Amino acid sequence: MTRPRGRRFVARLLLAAGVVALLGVGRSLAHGGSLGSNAGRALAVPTWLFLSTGGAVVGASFLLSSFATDRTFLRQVHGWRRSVPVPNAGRLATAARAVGLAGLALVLVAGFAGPTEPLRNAAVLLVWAGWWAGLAMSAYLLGNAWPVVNPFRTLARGLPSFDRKLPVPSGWVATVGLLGLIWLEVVSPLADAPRLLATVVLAYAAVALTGAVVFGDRYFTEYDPVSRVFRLYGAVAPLEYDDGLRLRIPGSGLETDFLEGSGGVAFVVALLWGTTFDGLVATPPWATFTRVAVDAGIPPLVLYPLALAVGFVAFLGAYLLAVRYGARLADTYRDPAALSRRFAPSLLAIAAGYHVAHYLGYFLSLTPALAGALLDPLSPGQAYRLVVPGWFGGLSLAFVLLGHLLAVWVAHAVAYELFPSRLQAVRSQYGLTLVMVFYTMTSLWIVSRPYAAPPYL
Amino acid sequence: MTSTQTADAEPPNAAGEESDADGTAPFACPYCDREFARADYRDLHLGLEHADALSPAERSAYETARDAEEEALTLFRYKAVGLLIVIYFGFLMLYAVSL
Repeated sequence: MTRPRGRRFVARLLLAAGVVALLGVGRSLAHGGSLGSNAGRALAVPTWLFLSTGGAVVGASFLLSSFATDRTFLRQVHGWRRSVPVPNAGRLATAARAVGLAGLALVLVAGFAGPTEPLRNAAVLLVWAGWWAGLAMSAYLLGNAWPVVNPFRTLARGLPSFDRKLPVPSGWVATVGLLGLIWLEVVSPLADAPRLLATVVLAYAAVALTGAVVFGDRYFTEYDPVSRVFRLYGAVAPLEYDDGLRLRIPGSGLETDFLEGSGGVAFVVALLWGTTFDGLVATPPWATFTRVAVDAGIPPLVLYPLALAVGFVAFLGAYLLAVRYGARLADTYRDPAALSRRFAPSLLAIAAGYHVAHYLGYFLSLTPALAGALLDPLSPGQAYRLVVPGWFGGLSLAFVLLGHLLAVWVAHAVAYELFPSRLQAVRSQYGLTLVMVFYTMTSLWIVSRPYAAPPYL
Repeated sequence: MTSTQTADAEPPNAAGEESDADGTAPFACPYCDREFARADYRDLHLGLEHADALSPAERSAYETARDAEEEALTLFRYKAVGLLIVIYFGFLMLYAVSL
């Protein structure tokens, strides 16, 4: 079992149909509705047009959002909160911790003793379909439950702590950790080899528990890359926990100033780049590029981490440049570092959109297999896959675009909070909008490539 | 303070109406520590953030700046509508030609 490569289940044709439908171009829709062998040919949108349409949707949504100029309205939308009463919160938390611990135990037992076929192995299914697809999706679609469910944190509660602090900013430590995890996930068959997966989980547990002993609970709130990913996804969600559960409009959590310095910004960019890189390495152009680079003498062992690092630096540089460019256009005395901190959370909406586009179909198709493996972890029966209908591909394109639209809207609201003049606020987003248009086109390009196994792994 | 570094690090803007990052003293807010490149930005800031503390002169400056901002926004909206129409019909044509 391999992890989803977007392009595998996303038919190019359906992507094009999605874009066309979004723009409401009647002529093409009429063609799409016709049956028979020429229906596909009628919708063979050339790549350049398909990509620029995606870019134009984001650009046009920026223009549309600039019509929302009523500060009171914006403040009401983004400040709206309702508290949600939770009966028996203490017992619920205990139950969630127990579920987390049971999950960890199951992953270890099934990983080492279960069947080796990935589709029948409870460890593989629970980690990839249940946790990394299902729980991560719930983190931005509902609310972040990981701080309670996290079994490592539950285990660490019983451990002593030295409560130390590292002399380097925690955001950068977490960024390096996240890039390391992405590298590991890309180059190793973690989704196909249950024994290896269980070993990695054990190693991660050792790191997490050591971290908790040395740094205390700060390890999970600041240093641990996984917890940070969930926390950032949770910022997109409609539910937040802050001395009680509260409901808010999705995305409005991204307008608060919650990132800590340049490390926090770097982590957000690394998260976005990680998803992109994961998709990029499975495209035919990457395979061609890798073969050329290896022929030129770069060992594959160096090539992958190097590409990961170079791409990260390029993404971070592009983002910081865009913010600086916007600051110059807005003619402001605000600190560029503060501006990059305030606008970075809007990228999380894009990351969430990209994640749901990748993993919703994957999660749904594996749900029966996951249920089967959970019922009988050591000797599960036949693994069933749910067949996801073809139009699902168009849906995942819509999610990619929705993420970008939310990001544009969040950046708009943040700019209104930062600048006294509304035109200044609009100008401050020109650079960022350009970057978002470029990024939409890149991710649509990746999503629409056919799958090619990454070479030399 | 980083704001002065920002002003030094960045070249003056090309547009004449905004060329205040070229070393001239910024317009400071008398009620907080924020500084602005243009007087109307400061006046708008005063009206938005310190509405209760304003002197009559500051209030009328805010109202002038707000009216000017509203006018500029109207112009911007026309441009945005124009651009949206160009994008929409541009793509309509592109699809018509290439499909």
